[in-house]
Formats: sequence, structure tokens, C-alpha cells
Amino acid sequence: MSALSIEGVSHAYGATQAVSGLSLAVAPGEVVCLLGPSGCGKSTVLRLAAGLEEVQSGRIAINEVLVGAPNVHVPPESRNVGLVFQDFALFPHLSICNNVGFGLNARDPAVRRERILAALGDVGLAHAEQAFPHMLSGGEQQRVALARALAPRPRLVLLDEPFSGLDTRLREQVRDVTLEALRKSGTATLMVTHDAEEAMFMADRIAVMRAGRIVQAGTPIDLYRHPSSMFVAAFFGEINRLPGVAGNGKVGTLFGPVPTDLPDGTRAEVVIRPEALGVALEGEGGAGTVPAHVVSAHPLGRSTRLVLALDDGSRLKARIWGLYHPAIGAPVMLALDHRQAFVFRTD
Amino acid sequence: MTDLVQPSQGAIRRPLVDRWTLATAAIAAVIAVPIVVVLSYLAVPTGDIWQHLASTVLPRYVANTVWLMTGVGVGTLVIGAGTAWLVTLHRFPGRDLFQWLLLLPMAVPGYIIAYTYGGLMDFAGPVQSGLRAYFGWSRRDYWFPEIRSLGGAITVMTLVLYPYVYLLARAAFTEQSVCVLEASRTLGAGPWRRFLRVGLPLARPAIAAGVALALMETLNDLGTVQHFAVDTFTTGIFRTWLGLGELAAAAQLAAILLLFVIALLLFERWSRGDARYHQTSGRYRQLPSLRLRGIRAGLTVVACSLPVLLGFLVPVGVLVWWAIRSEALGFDARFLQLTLHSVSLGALAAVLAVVLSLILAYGARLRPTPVVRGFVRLASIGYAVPGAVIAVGVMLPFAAIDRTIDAWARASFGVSTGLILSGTVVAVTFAYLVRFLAISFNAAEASLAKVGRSMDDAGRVLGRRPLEILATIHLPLLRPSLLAAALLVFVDVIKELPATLILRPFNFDTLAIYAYDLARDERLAEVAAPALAILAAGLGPVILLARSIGRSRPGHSA
Repeated sequence: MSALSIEGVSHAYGATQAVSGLSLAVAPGEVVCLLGPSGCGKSTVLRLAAGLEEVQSGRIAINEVLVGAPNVHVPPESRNVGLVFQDFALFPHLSICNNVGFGLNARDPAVRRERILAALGDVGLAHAEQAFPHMLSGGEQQRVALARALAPRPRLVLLDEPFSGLDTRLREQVRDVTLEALRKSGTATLMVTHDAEEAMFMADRIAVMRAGRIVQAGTPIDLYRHPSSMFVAAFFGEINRLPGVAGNGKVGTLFGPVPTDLPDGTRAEVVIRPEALGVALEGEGGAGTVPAHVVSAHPLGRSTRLVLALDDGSRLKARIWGLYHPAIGAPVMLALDHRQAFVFRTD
Repeated sequence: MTDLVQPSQGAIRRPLVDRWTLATAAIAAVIAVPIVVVLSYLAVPTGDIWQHLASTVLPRYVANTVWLMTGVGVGTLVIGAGTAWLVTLHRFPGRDLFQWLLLLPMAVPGYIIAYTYGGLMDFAGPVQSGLRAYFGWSRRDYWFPEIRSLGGAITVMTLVLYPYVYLLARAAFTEQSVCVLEASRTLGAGPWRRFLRVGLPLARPAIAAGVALALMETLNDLGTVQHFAVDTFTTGIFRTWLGLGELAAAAQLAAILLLFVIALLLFERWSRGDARYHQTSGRYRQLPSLRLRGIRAGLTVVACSLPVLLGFLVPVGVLVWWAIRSEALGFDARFLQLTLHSVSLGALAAVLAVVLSLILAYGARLRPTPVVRGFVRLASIGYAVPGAVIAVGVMLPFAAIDRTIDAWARASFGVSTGLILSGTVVAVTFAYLVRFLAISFNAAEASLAKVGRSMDDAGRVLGRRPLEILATIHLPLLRPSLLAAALLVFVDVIKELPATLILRPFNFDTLAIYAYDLARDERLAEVAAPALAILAAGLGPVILLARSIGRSRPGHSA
């Protein structure tokens, strides 16, 4: 049983191929994030699921009912899905109450009102029902948009970059409220974002998209720990790339050999996340540590970002917890957490 | 793949022919009929009458029309662009007032200013009588410019048409980024050089569009040229049709006039050109206005006052004077009936135009296909076509349809159906729609474009069908602009003369027709009542424009 199943869907706008043979399923109650750079086709997937675009090839089903295929198009108004827009798309001429009630079929005013207040209550905005959209802050508008999408009790909710219109400080707070409301409603959720941290926060599963295809899908920890490609590794944060050649099932680096499945002689790159590097003062390093010196240090509050130069001239970025401000040029010892080093074939 | 439940058939709506495409196509096809009919007469074999026209009057029509267009084009360009430059980029006493005062002549239809100046400046008029009385001259003692001439027609039409150029030029100047102008200033350009080398070229597309609009109105004019005895295509069409009864020849004249219009449209498109006039800087601030003092301020005030004075205050003053002087004010039962006719025609056309525009604009929004876009463009071409041409194009097919129905009814039932379409309110209303649909369509399209696409999507996902979305989301949001659009069409219908003259039902006179008839009979003083009523109506759109002027500037502190 899937709340949403997308099977082999391709979609083109004119000559531009937006989605190519994409398959994805969302189980009831599950939150799935489509993660990818802008223009990778992730919003098109959302619009196809909502019925705002017609399926050109492949098929889409909601709750095991076929809703989209070539020559089958259940229009969006008959799909019972909720959609939260990037710009929220609140109706400016309607009060919050009427915005949230827009999708409700119930005619009985008492029932309507109860449903509206319940939906607003779930996002902590019951007091704002008489206000108009322009009177609310961005974060409040986003919550109204969520309440409006959830009020008709859809089996599937689609979120299109729902937090990108909010400033960073507000984002975390609204994210909490959103996730809680989604969990409470028990609806299946497909969310689109280009922000890996946001995806990791929200998702049970993440599907990373590139150029219209899913390149890797799995739990957030899976993707972070075991990226299958340079693209996925890079998408989850800054990386260091060390060139090398595979031989005897490993690639040699200054930090010692890193295991790989690549055949001998393959040109490869070892990818190291900045947080996989440990920095110790000179003389404190143990076995496998490498001497380096500090090029720059930027204390960022929770962490410090360092650029370090190795003796062979190559530079590495490191991120360590807490505030740390060594002198520029200070000698340090670097250690690598080998679980966070990945080897990929050089493209 | 798992087995999926097929959706219920009711949930799948995929009609064979898309309804919105069909609707836009139907509207466009019907609206295009008059233009197609007239153009087809270019290919119709011509009889003797055409030979006769071509050898006698045609050269005069062409010459007068070309001179009229040249004169009005230059006149509106100088006055419109000049005053716009003065009020947008300079500070002088009364500038804020002049910003909207300069729009006032727009409220005066060409034929009404012609009647007032005709009465004011002719031999028996107060100006010449006054000169003779003061200097003791008699008829042969002095030279005075003949107002009833090509020059007179150019002058009065320029005086009421320059606001088209003024409006668009003003908008273009205010949208010019302050950085560009300040850059030219730091590069050492003086005020004249800034105007000629930076301001004017940047505003060129807008100014050309304004001149093109003014020229379309020039071609549309009947009342002025007829009153001033200047033979143009429009008067020629009337004379050939109503005087000689030669409908085919009139249609051929109309077709040639249409070629002028097409040339104008091409000119307007060409003037937009390939050059990019997008601003390179998005920074808008209060425009750096140059403070004028002393003699320069005085000259500027004079320059801005003259068009208002001559294009609005003088004609209005003359009308008021006539109204006061005539014993019977003219506001009688007949006047009431005429007003009722004008208002009901205007209201009918306005409502229909707004409804059709909304269908077209929403259809184009729902189905942004090249086909629909083409139909929509076709449906809004009529704004450029002179009323006389449209009238000919409406009359010919409607008369043919009436004849066919009548012949069929007589053959089948032995009864005559008479005129069903031609000579009824249907014909004249249809002509109004052909001519004015573009006005309401542009308004509907522009305000619809301001409503984000996600509004439609949100409505769909929340369970509403497109028509329900139009009713529950778009209509409430568009209401102010649609009302404004309806007002524009309403007023244009009330002012409209040539099409009304040809197509109105028998004995169904309007205020414009009444004024025209009185002027033809040289009962100028009595023109005052209907003319003042038309003028009052014409002030409506001017007030709308004046109100929007204050908030038209992007980034302007609201």
C-alpha cells in the first residue's frame, strides 16, 4: 500500500526534459523529501502528483487509484491532496478563517468552524482566524498555508520548498511546527527542497534528484554516511577532494589507504568531509596524523571552519566543534575519521 | 507494477475539443469578421464607380489623410513628450497640479473641440468680431487664419490627442532609472542634452506607441474633418456610402484606410525594435528633479498651461458660454431620452466587453498555447481600426444575413422577417465590441497577470474547478480593474461617432449623434448641452488616470 506511487514517469516542457523515468513511492504516514539543486525537476514531480501537470509517460497512483497516465488525468480538484506552495499562495481577499475553510466540503457552518479552528489550532494560530493574510508575518502565513492544506484531511500532502521564503532564524521554529502537525495528521508527505539540512531534519527518507532522475534514495543517515556518488556527497555539505589511483582495493592518501571496490588503475578521488578531520596541536597527534599549518580560521559560533595547508601544498577544509582560533601559520596535526572518507571514480 | 484501481470516469475530464480554446476561438472569429470582410474588398473586382473615385477624389483623400497624420503626429509628439519631460524631471510652481491637468483635454472628443473652435474662430465668431470692433476693420482689411481647414483640423486634433503621448512618455520617463540620468549628468550632459540624448531615446518606444495611438484616433475621426471640410478617407467612406449609395466602393475605401492602420501597427511594432530598453539598474528613487527658477520657471508654467488652456478650458468655456447664452438650455425631455440611449448603449457594450475580455484573458491564462494567444491577439486588433471601417465591415455581412433569413422566411412561411441584425442595437453594439474589446481585454489581462499562478493551483488542489476559481478568487481580486475597464468602454461608446452614425437603429439618436446633427445645421449654440454631457462622462477615465499617476512609480513611497 502506497499513499503515492510514481512509476517510470517522464515529463518534458517543450524540448526541455524535466523528469526522466522517475519512480518513487511514499507510504502512509511517511515523510519523503525530494532533494536536489534548482532545475533538477523536483518541483515538476510535485506538480505531476498534484495533477497540475498531465502525465506524459509512466503512471501515478494515489492510494492505489490510478490518477495520472497518458490519457488518464484526474484533475487536481478531484485528487484530495494538500499542497503548500513556496509563496504560500494565500488568497489575499479572504480572511484566515475562509482561507483555511476554502477546501472544506462541509456545508454545516458549525462543522466547518470546528474543522477550521482545529486546523489552525494544530499550527498554533487559532487566535488569528479573523485576520487577513497581509496582517501576518511570513512564518504565520506559512503555518496558515499548512493548515489550509491539512484542513480537508488529505491522504497526501505535498510541500514545495515550504521554508525557503522564511529567514533562517524563523525557519527552524516553523519546521518544528510543520513536522509536528504532519505527524499528528498522519498523512503521507512528499516535500521538495534544495536544502540538505532541511531534508535531513524533516524526512524519513530522502530521494536525491539530479537532472530529472533519482540518483540515490534512503534514510538521511544512509545518504550522509554512504553517498553513492560525488554529487550526493557534495550535496550534503562541503567536501575535500584528494586525487589518487586505485590499487589493491584501496586508494592511498597522506592519511593512509582508504578502501575501495574500484578496479586497479582507476583514477579516483577520495572525498573527505570537513568534519571528518580532527585537528590536534603539534606533538599531540598519534599514529596516522599528518602535519599541516593553519591558513585561515573562522570561528562561526557553534563550530570553527579552518583552511589548512599540508606539506605537499594541498589545502583541506576542516570544521571542528566549538570556538577555536589558532594563529595563522600555526602548526597542527590532522587526523582522519576513515568512516567519513569515500572513494569515487573520477568523472 | 501493482494492479491499480481505475479512476471513476466522472473524475477524468478530457473533452475532445478544449472548451477554453473553443471559447477564445469563437470570440476571436466573430470579432474579426468586420475586418476580414473589409480586407476582402481589396480583392473584389472594381466597377466604374471605383475608377471614378480613383481618378477624382482618391488623391485628395490620400493627401489630406497623410498631411493630417503628419501634422498630428508631430504636434502630439512635441507637446506630449515635451510636457511629460517638463513635469517629470523639473520642479516649478504647480508641477504636481500640471501632472494631471495635462490629461484633461483627453476628455474632449475631437468633434466637440472642433465645433467650439469652429464657432469661436470663424468670421462671425467672437474672436474675429472682437478684432473688427476693436480695430474698426471690415471684411477685407485683415488676414485671419481659416479655422475650417487642414491646418485647423491638425491644430484642434493635436490639442485633444497629445495626452496619449504625454501619458506614455510620462510613464516611460518616470520608469527610467535615476542612475542612468545621473550618470549622464556626471558625464557632463546639460539639461537639453540629457533630454535629447538619454531621456528621449530611452522613452522612444513608449512615445512611438503614444503617437501611434493618437494617429489611430486621427484616422478614426469623422466629426472634426467633416466640420472643417477636410476630405479624408473617413468622410469619403460616408459620402460614398450614404451619399452615393455605393456600398462596395465605400468598402474599398475602407480597405485602403485599413492599410494605413496596418502600416501604423507595423510602425509601432518596429519602433519597439530590437534594442533592449530594459533598465540596467533596478534602483528607483525620487527622480532627481531640476529646480527651475525665474524666467525659466515662468516659461515652463506657460508651456504646460497652454495645452490645458487651449485643449480643455477654452472649449469648455465656450460650451458653458453657449449654454448660458441660449434661452433654452437644451436640457429637456429630448435630451433626457438621448442621454438614456447613450447610457444604455454604453452600459450594454461595457458589460459585454468586460465579460468577453474576462473569458479571453482567463482562457489565455489557462491555455497559454500559441493557438489561443493568436486568437486573443486577433480579438483585440479592433482598437486600431477606425469606426467607419468597422461600420462598413459590420453592415455588409449583417445585411447579407438579414436578406438571407428574410428570403428564406418568405419562401418557407410567406412572412418577411425584415431587419434582424442590421439597423438594430445588435449591429451597433457589435461594432462597439469590435472596436473597444481591446481596452477591457488589456485591463483584464494586466490585472490577471498580477495574480500569481499559484493562486489558481491552490484553488485547484483545494477542490475547485477553473470556473469556480474564476468566480471565487479572480473576480473579487479583479473587481476594481474590471470596473475601471467597464468605465473606459462605457465612456468611449458615449463619445463614439462614426460607427454609431452608420449603424444605430432608425430614429435612435444618442448625445454624440445629436451634437453632430446640430453642428451640421450650424446650430452651434445648441451643441452645448449634449457636448457638456459627453465631456462630463469623458472626465471619468481622466480622473481614474490621474489617480493612478501618483502611485505609478515603482518603489515610490506609497
